[in-house]
Amino acid sequence: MLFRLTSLFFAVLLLLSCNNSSHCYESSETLLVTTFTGGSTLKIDSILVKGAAKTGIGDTLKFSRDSALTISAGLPLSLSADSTGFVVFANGRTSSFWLKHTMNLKLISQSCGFAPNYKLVATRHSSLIDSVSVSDPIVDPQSVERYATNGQNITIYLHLATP
Amino acid sequence: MDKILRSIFILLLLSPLAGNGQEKKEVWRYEGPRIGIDLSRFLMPSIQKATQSAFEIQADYPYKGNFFPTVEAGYQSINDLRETFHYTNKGPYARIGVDMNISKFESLSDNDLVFVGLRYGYSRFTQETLTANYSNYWGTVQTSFPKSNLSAHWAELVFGLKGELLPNLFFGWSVRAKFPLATTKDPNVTPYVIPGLGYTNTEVPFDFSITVSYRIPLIKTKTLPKALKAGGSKHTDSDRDDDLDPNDPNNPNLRNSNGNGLNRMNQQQF
Repeated sequence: MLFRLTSLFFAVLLLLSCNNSSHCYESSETLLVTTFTGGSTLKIDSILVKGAAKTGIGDTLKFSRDSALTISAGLPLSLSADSTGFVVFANGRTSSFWLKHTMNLKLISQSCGFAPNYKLVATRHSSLIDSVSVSDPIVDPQSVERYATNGQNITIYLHLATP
Repeated sequence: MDKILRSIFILLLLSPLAGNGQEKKEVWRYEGPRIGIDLSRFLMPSIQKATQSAFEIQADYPYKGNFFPTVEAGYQSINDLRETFHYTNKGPYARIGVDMNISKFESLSDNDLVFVGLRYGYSRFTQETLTANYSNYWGTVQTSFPKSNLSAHWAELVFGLKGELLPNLFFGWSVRAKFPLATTKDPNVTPYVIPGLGYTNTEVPFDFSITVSYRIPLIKTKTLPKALKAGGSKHTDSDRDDDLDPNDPNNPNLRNSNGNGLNRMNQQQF
């Protein structure tokens, strides 16, 4: 009898302990970790980044007035086009850059759903940007976490000096 | 579900009363194949509110008293409709393995088991993502992934109990640690649930089963299986002698002593 009751007790306990958690604890936002810099001596006094052809007030992706040598931003990439463009307003000058990429939607988990995974294949930029350096072409939901303290997907070297 | 649990509880309480008032009968030990169903497969969807359905049948056969070669087979399907995706996954699975009783049978009528076991599991299943949505700054994308055929292999460690509720009717539970060995890769949709293996969001998925099974009493015997050495105290002949009532006229020991020559270790097929 004791054995049977113990057995039943544990069976009920097992049933009750089951909890199908629906919370997403993983990163499900895919952002390109970008570092803007003017070099080792010139500081960025102010910066504003928007998507190309995005002119609305709410379309600002990054805005900062903190003077710094480098400024980082997480930038979303296009879901439907195979390239994404950004406009950068830094120290009163406007420049732009484009990234060509491939995209696959991949399942993260049951609770987090799907998220895009990109691979950067080419870059292009306007004359007011010195260069674009790609250090990690893979952009996935873990990118922000991966480069939370150090590193980035790309570095944008800006022409900040007066021409 | 409350009704089911209440019924099981009442059944458990009443089961010892079933034998009251009956005349003392000759005690035999019955053995044979045991066939059952896993109740947890039916109960889980109502508890988890998940859109899944499953059934599983289990069978084992006693071997040398304490070993139970086991086969389990089932079918599971999940239809997961969420805000951002609609995913389906279904397929059959099977496990083979063996359970080993680690407890000591106290008497010929004692069939309760505490067991540890090993399983090898295999599933061949299909999955399909009917819709997958993602939205960001640039807009929304919606796509789908066609049906793909996948398979998985895994191993399991099992620990559980089985108690004889009524003659030949067993109720039991087991907890299982599952070790995925190999799964067919899908580049975009790694299956988060595999029939028979369960959810794959951890490296070692844990699962449990609650079984009701019926033993077909094909063999009756007077042999009490010896306890395994690792299971604790050893069975000796004197242990077996203790199991029989010296006042019982059917006690084969008594008949032996009277020279009837009945072998107490006889085994009878019928």
